[in-house]
Amino acid sequence: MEGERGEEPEEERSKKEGDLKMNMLTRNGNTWEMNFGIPSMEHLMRRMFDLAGADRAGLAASRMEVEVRDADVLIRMPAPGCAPDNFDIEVVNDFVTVRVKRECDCADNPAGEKHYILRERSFEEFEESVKLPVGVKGHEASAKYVDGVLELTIPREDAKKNASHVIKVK
Amino acid sequence: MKNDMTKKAAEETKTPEIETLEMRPVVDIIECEEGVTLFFEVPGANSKTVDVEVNDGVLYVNAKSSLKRDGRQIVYKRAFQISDAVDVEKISAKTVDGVLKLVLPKSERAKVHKIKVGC
Repeated sequence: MEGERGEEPEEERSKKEGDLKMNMLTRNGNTWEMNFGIPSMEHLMRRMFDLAGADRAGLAASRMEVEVRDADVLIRMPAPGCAPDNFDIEVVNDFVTVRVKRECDCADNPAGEKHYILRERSFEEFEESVKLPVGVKGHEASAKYVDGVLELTIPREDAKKNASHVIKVK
Repeated sequence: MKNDMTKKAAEETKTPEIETLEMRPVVDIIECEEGVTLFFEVPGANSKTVDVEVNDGVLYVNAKSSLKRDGRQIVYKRAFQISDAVDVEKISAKTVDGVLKLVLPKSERAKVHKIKVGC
């Protein structure tokens, strides 16, 4: 845990966790500079191949959460910083595909001169597909976007009825 | 004795804690004249579940997500060391659509003040 401080030297911990040590606003001559730890080679390579986010609960890795319930199937997919218009959802039989295209929210940043000191977030277009284990009614699907998570609800075709069946063995 | 029994009963009725999975959120850090802005991706978290704290020159971000992985609730955690040049009192935070925006303004002392030299 990064929050637990004082157990080992700061530099060692930063290197081990691959975290960024930010010595913010270090005075150098007449200008202010931001000094950061050198990113690891692994991080640079992952960045080069646009895999920087592959190990997060974000976009690059398949992070679709599929929950099969009695009446429907709930799919949850993290996609922070999007708008409802950014999603293109397709249900074909029991195959669900979600395409996400979002734009950099740089416009949200303070105006004036700015530059990236660290850029880990990815704004690449991506899509994810999943084959559902049960039949669904694609035309009755509904979706909502809450707290950066897409929630897709699709009613089941063979929704379980709460009836018990007693079978006698002859 | 009665207190012990009450305590025991309370422990028995207490809902079991959900196991958590700590993850490091990705972040963009942008510098501007006024300070530094950080954007953390914390999908499934909102203003009620995000906790930002500055303690002993270290900025801690802790965000509980509604997302789960392998039955464990995801908790985003990350920390940055900041210098005295940041005006800690004026740090602002906002969460929109799973993105936590933190604005760390420079203190007046740290800003560049240009002084014109008269003739």
